[in-house]
Amino acid sequence: MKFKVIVFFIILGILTLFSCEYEFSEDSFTEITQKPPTASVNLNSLRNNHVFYVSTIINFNYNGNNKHRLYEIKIYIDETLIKTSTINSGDFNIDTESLEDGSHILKVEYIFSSGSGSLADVSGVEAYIKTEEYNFTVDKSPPEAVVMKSAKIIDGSIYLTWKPINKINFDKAYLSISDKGGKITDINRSISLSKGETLRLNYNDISFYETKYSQEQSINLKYQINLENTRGKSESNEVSISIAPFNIQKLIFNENSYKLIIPKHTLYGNFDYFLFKHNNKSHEIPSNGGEVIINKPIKFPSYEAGTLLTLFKKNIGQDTYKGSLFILGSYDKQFEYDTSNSYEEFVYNESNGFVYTLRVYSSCVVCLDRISIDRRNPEDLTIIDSKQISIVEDYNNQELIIDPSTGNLIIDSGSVTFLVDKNNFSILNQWTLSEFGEQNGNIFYRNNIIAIEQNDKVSFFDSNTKSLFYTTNKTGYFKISESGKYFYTNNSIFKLENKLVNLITNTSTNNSVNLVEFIENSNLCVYNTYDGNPIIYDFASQSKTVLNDFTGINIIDYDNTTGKLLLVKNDDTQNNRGQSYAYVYDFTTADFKKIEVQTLGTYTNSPPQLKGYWLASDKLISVGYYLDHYLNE
Amino acid sequence: MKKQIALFLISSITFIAYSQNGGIFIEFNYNTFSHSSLSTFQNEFIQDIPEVPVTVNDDFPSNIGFTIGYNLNHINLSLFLSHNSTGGKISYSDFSGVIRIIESLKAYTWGAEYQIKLSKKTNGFKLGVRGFSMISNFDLKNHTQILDNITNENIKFQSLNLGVGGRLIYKHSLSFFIIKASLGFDITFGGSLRLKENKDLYLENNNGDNVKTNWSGLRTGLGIEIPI
Repeated sequence: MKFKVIVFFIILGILTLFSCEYEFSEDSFTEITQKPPTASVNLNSLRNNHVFYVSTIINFNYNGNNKHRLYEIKIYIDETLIKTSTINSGDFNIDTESLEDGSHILKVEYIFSSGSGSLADVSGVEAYIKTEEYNFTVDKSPPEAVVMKSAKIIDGSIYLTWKPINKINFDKAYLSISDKGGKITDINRSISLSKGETLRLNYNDISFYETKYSQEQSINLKYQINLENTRGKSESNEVSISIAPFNIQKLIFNENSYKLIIPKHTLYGNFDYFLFKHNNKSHEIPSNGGEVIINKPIKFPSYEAGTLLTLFKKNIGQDTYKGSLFILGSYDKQFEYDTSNSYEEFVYNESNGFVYTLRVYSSCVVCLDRISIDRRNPEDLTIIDSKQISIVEDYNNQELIIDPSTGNLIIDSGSVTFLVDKNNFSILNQWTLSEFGEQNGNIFYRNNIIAIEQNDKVSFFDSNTKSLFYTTNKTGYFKISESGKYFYTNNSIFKLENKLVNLITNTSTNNSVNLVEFIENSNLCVYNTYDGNPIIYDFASQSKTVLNDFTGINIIDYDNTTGKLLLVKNDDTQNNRGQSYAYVYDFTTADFKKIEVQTLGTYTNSPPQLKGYWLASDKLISVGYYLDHYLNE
Repeated sequence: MKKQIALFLISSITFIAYSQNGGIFIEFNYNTFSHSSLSTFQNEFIQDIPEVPVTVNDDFPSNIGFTIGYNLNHINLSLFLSHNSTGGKISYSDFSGVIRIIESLKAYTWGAEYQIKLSKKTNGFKLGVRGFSMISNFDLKNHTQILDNITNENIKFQSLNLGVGGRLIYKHSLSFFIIKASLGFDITFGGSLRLKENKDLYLENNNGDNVKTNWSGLRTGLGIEIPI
């Protein structure tokens, strides 16, 4: 029995002890304090109660502050899921086309880790869900019209301003530029403006505007801003600005050069310099103006169409071309004339300050002549009014003179002579050869005297009574002064006073006189033989002065405006056209200026007298052109 | 292995029961171990979970064991059967859950000890020289709970160690039993852990080396012997 008890306890002890195990320690425990989450989603450019006028891309950016990992972002519009993202940044579209006008709710729901560092957090099963809502409105009305405020030129550049734009509901914006009158058709364009530029409320137009005839008219630019969206478009009011005409000057410097004077351009801020090229040489003139001497033989008329200036903006590397200007004209100027007419005279009328032109139209060589008078502005010879005076027999030497006593116009037209009112061009009186019993010859009216020139004699009548009071044989050239006080014939100068004729002097030239010009205000007479030199006869001192500097003269014209004398040597032969010159002689200084002129076509060798250059109103005039400087300086 | 131990126990008890000059003894031991391989293996778990600060709770420390045996006094030999246990544990827990890896290690030792008298007395000091073999059961339990999600894994391994050792034994007669105290040192060999379900598979660390049990260490003991 004792043994069994022992064995029992032994086995019991073994089993008990063998069931013993190592006793493990408690689990480690980390106390974690939960802090409020700091994650956020930033919707750039979106604010609460935002108004969307057009479809807009909204950028979003999740910021977990290096603590909260993003699991998912869901974006809803009116509870409709429009975007799901598991990355921190992206964008979504507020598609106004698919949304109704009115209020909407944008909901941003984002799920991110707690950031607590707990076992669940690091295992990705502990997260926050955060929801943010934004109210917004969709407005799909057409864009409102921009209100333009001003267009100004500041520092040589055009600046536009407009009022703040309340509704940014436009997709496209255009700046429309055109010339106001529509005469300059090249300026009609549209510049696309970005939204940023449009909202900046100002614009600097750095373009350069060129006109067809820059020197003649202003550019009236009008600016308008047009906005467009998918529902319509709007047009702003217009603002306009005038760009003054741009005139350059070419002033003759000497016989072989002229000075090009370029003023400051109104838009000088939009470019840096003008470029003028002549004879493969380039001249740069700053945009704010300058002068340059151009070497070129001077000739009148120049027949230059105009001057081309190109405009550049300086850049590192290659300068930027900004535009070009073609400016009509040259150092001489053009005026209006009728190419179908022959011009016989340009004369300045001291009594009313106008220049009068005598022109003749003949449809054939032997046809009748239509004689007309133009009254012109003395400054630029623009026609003020014109009138056809009469139709007369063909005559090669029509003359227009000013009656010194009344300022009315006298037209000598071969078989008839007219006294024409200087204001309304009405014929005050006219005299014909037949009235004086003659069939041929040329008739001249001067201060109540009628002179009739025939091949072999000259007769003088009282214009009122038509009674003959003097007649003389005639050889050679005949000319009667404007007042009728002097006449030239038989190589002599005579004085006609109180119907009595007295010989003043015999010209005693070797060759026949071809030109005589009476300068009665100065008591002078200039006569000329083509092969010799002009001679000035002074009635007061009864002296003669030979002008040895001139020969071969076939045009003489006196300008009563300046008291100077024009002498033209036209060197024309049928086979060899030489150089022709115009001289302007100053009686006061006995000096003269010279300029080469275009040779007139005469088709005869050494013609005795010509028409084609005149000196009137301080201008050297050729048909269609005049020169108003240099010779008169 | 349990069968072998049971057979060993039955045969030993039978042998004891019919022996005429001996004594049954039981000892409680306090032993140290050298499970550095298991300790390294446990630390590798920590390195594999860097997201949370997993800490070591137990690292295969010294522990109390026990021994029962029977002295065959006429041939100075004793047969013994020992049980030792220790374990490793790493864990992390917070309000949201827990990660816990427990490595439970138990060893069953059986062997024989030859005792040499160091004094002329029947009891007194003796020197014990012994040889033994050890069966170790290594249970690897992984428990993970994150919120309501719970995962449990339990993998069992087993190893075999052979060992030798020596100790100084002191016996003192008191009434009908003998008080017994000892101090010694064991050295074990082998110990590669194999998957219990498939002995062809060894437990390896991150370096590809076999993870081994190593029970070498000091052995202390205090017990009683009842002569029979």
